[in-house]
Amino acid sequence: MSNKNKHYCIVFVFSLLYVGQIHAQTNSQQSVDQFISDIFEQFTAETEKSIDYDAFYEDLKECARNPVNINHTTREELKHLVFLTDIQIENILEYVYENGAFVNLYELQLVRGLDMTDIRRMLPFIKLGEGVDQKNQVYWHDLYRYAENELTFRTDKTIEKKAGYSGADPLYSGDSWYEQLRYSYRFRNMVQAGFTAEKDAGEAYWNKKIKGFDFYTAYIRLNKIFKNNTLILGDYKVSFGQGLVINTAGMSGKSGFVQNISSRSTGISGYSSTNEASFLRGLGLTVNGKNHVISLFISTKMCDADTTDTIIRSISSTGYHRTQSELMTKNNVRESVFGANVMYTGLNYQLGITTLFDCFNKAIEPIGKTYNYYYFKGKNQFVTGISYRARLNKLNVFGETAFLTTTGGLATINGGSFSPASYINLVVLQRYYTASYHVIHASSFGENTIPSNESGIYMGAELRPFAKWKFACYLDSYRFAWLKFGVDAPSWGRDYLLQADYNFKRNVSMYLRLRYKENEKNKTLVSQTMPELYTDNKFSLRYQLTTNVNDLVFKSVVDGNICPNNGQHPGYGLLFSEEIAYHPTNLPWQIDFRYMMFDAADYSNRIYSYEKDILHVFSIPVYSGKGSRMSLVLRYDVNKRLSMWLKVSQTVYSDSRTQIGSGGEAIQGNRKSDIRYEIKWDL
Amino acid sequence: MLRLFSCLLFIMSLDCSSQIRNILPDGMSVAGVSVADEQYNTSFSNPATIGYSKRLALQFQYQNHYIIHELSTRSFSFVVPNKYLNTGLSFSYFGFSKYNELMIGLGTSRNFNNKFSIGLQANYLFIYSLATQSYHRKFIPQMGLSLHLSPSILLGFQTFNPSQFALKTDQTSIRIPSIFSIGLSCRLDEHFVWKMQLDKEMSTGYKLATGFAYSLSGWLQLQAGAYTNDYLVPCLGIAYQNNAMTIGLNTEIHPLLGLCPQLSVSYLFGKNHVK
Repeated sequence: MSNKNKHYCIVFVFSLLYVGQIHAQTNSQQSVDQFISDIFEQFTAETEKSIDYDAFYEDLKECARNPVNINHTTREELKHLVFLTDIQIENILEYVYENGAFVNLYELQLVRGLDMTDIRRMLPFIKLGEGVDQKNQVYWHDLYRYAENELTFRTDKTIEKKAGYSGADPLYSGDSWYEQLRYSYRFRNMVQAGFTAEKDAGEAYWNKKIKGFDFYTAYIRLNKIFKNNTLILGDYKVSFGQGLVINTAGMSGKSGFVQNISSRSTGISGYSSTNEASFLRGLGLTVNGKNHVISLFISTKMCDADTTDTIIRSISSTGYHRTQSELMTKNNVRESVFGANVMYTGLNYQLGITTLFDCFNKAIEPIGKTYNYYYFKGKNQFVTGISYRARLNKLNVFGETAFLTTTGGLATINGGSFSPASYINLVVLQRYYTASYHVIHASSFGENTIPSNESGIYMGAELRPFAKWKFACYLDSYRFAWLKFGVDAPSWGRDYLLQADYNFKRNVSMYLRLRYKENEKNKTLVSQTMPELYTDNKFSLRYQLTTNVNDLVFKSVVDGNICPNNGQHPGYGLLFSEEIAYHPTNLPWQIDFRYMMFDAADYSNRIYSYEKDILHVFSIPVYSGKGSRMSLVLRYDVNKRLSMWLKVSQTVYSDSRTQIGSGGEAIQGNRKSDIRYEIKWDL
Repeated sequence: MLRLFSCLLFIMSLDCSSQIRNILPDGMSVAGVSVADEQYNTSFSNPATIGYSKRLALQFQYQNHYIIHELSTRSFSFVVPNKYLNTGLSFSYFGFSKYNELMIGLGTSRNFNNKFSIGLQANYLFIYSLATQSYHRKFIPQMGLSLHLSPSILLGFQTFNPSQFALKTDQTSIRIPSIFSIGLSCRLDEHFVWKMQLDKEMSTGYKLATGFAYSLSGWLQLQAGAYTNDYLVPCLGIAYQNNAMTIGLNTEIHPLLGLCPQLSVSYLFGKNHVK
C-alpha cells in the first residue's frame, strides 16, 4: 500500500473514532469571543503583569475573521495563534511539508503535540484552503461592497457616588460616565483601518487640554497593495525578536501555558486599544522578500509626563486626566522613535537584527533613589539586538541578545523546547539582564515590567501520560543583582507551578493548579542603613470545574492561598464562585450569571479572579477583605447587524468597612454597584 | 425558669450586632449535608432540590438544640410537582414567646432531564424581638443549583441572602446571615452514598460537613457523619423508608453543649405526577 493510501486509511480510522468530538465542538455554543476570553484567562491566570486585552483580542479576532489557511501558511502567521507553542507550530509546518495539504480537520489529530484541547482552540481561527496561494483580482468597488464595517459604543458607570464627584469644588473635572467609541474597517487581509475615542470616568469633555474625548487613536494598514509590502499609517504596535529591543504588544511571561514562554515576534501591526501609552504613532513599512523581511518604523507622539521645567521626573502611563494634577501631565513631552528590523529566514532557522533609537525633547531625570540608580536617564537611547530561532529535529532554540549603547547595558535571553516523545514537551529558558539595561519599550520574559536587573532560569514540562489527563509544571529561579522598589538589597526568588487537567467526560473538564512562590522583601517600611529582608512566600491553589449541558455552561471555581504576613501568623485567602452561562443557538440572546464569595483578610492574600464581561472588556478584578459579588451579563442580537450588551454587577463587603476605595475613588458604605452597556452595529 | 435563662444567655451570647444564629433548618441528611441531595426535598438547604420531586410531597421536621425546647426549630414543607415547574411552600419556626423567627419560603425549581436543576426561593422573614416588642419583616432571596456531573455524582450550590440584606429597626440593626453553600454527593454503589458540604456565612467561620448513608435493606438506612465549626461534632442517624413514607431520626453530639436530636417525617402522595 502506498504511503498516500496509508495516510488516508489512518485519517479514515481517526475520523470514525473521533468524529463526534470535533464535529460537536464546531457546533459548540461557545462563540469566538468566549474562546478568546478563555485563552486570555489562561494567559493572565498566573501573572500579575498587566496585559493589554484589547490588543490580544484584536489579534485573535482578526484570525477569526481571516482564518489562517493551514495548508499554505508561515511560521509568522501561526504565531498569531498565541496558544500554540513553538513546537506545535513547527510540527504543523513539518506535517504539511512531509504529507502534503490537510485533507480535512480530523487530520490535525495526526500532528504530533496537538491534543483535542489544542485542536478545539484552533478551530475558529483556521481553515483548510488550497495548498497554493490563490490570487483573486480585486476591484476598487470591492473595497466598499465587500468590506466589514463595525461601529461600537460603550458606556460604564458606578452607581454609588465617589468622593471625587462630591462637594462644591469636586476633585474630578468631568462626570462619572466612561465612554468609548470604536470603528473598524476590514477588507479581507488587505485593507484594515481603525478609530477609537475614549473618555474615562471623571474626565471632562472640553477644557484647555481636552477637546471632545480625552484619547483618540487611529490607523490604516495596507497589506500587499503595493507588491508584497505592508504599510501602516497612524498608531501601531511593534514586536520583534524576544522583545528585548521593542515589544509594545507586551505579551510575554509566565502563564498557565507553561510552554509558551518565547515572545511572539509579530512585527508591525495596527493599534486600536484604549491603552493610552503602549503604542507608536507615525509610519511603519514592512517589505517582504523571498527569504527576508525588512521593517522600518518611525514614530513621533506626545506623552504624559511629570515634568519640572526641562526635566522629566517620570512618564505616566495610566491615561487618567481627571484632576488638575493629572491634567498638568497630559502631553507634556514629545517622544520620537526610529527603528528597523531585518529578518532572514532559512529552511530551519531565522536570524534577525533590530535597532531602535528613542529620544525625548526633554531629559529624563527620575528623583534620585538607590533602587532607580540605573533607570534610563537623559534624552535618548540607542539599542541594538540580534535574535535567532532554529529547529534541529525535535529541538527548537531561540534567543536574543541586545546591547544598550548609552549605558553599556547588556541583556540576553536564550531558550529551547524539546519534544522527545509525543506525550512530553520540555522547555528551558535562561535570561540575564544587567541592571544598566533599561529600555523603555522592551518587554520580555521576567518578573519585572521592563527586562532589567534580573537573571534566572526557567524550566517547564508538559506531559500527557494517559488519555484525558495533562500535567504541566514549571520552576523559575531568579535573582535581582541590584535593588528594586520595595526591596533595598539584592534579592532572589523562586516560583513553582503544577497543574493537572482532566477531561472527565466529553462535556466535563476540570483542572487543579498549585503554585508556590517565594521572594524577598523589606522587613519594614522604614528605610534603614542596613536593610533587612525577609522571605515572603505564598502557596496558592485553584480548582476549576466546567460542565457543558446543551446550551448551558456551568463553571465552579475554588481559589485559595495561604501566606505568612511578614513572618507573623499566616493569613489565608479563599474564593468560591459559581457561574452559569446560557448561550442558546436558536435564540438571539445570551445570559451569563456569576455569584462569588471571597474571604481574604489581608491584602497579601488578595485573589485575582476572572469575570465574564461585555465585548472588548476583559475583567480580572482583585479581591481582598470579606464579601460577595454578583454579576449578570446579557447579550441581545436585535438583528444580524445590531447587538447589545448589558452588564450589572455588585460587590458587598461584610467585614464592617464603612468605605470602599480611597482618595477620589472612595465610596461611602459597603456596596459598590456598576453598570456597563455596549452596542455594536455592523454597518 | 432555668431553661428560659439559658435561652436568653444563649441568644445574648451571640454577636452584639444582633447576629441571628444559622437561620436555615438542617435538611434530612445527617450532619446537615443537604445542598447536594436529590432524595429529599430540602428547599431551605437548596431550592434546586424541589425540582427532583416527582410526587406530591409533605415534609415535617423537628430539630432541637441541646435538649432545650425553646431552642427548637420546627419546619414544614409542601411540594407540588409539575411538568414544567415544581413549586414548594416551606415554613420554619424557631424560638419561643419572647423571641422567635418565622420564615416562609415560596420556591420554584425546574429539573432539566435529570442533568441539572435550578431553583429560586423567595423567603419572607418575621422576627419578634423582646427589645422592640414587635414583629420585623424582611424579604430574602435564595437561589440554588444542582448539577449531575455523572449519574452518580451530584454537585450542589446555594446562596441565601446573597445581597446581605439587614433588618433595620428604630433601635438596632439586625444582621441577617448571608450563607453560601457548596456540596457534593457521590453514590458509590446502590446502597452507599457519601456527601460533603462546605458552608460559609459571610462574617463568620466555615462549616465543613461530611456524611454517608448506608442502606441495610430496602427499608432501613444508617447515617453517620460529622461537621466542624469551632468543634468537631459527630452525627448519627437512622431512617425508615418505604414507597411513600420516610421517618428519620438524626442526632448531633456537641462535645460541649450536648445532644441536638432531629426528627423528620416525609410523605409522598400517590404515583408519579410528573411524566
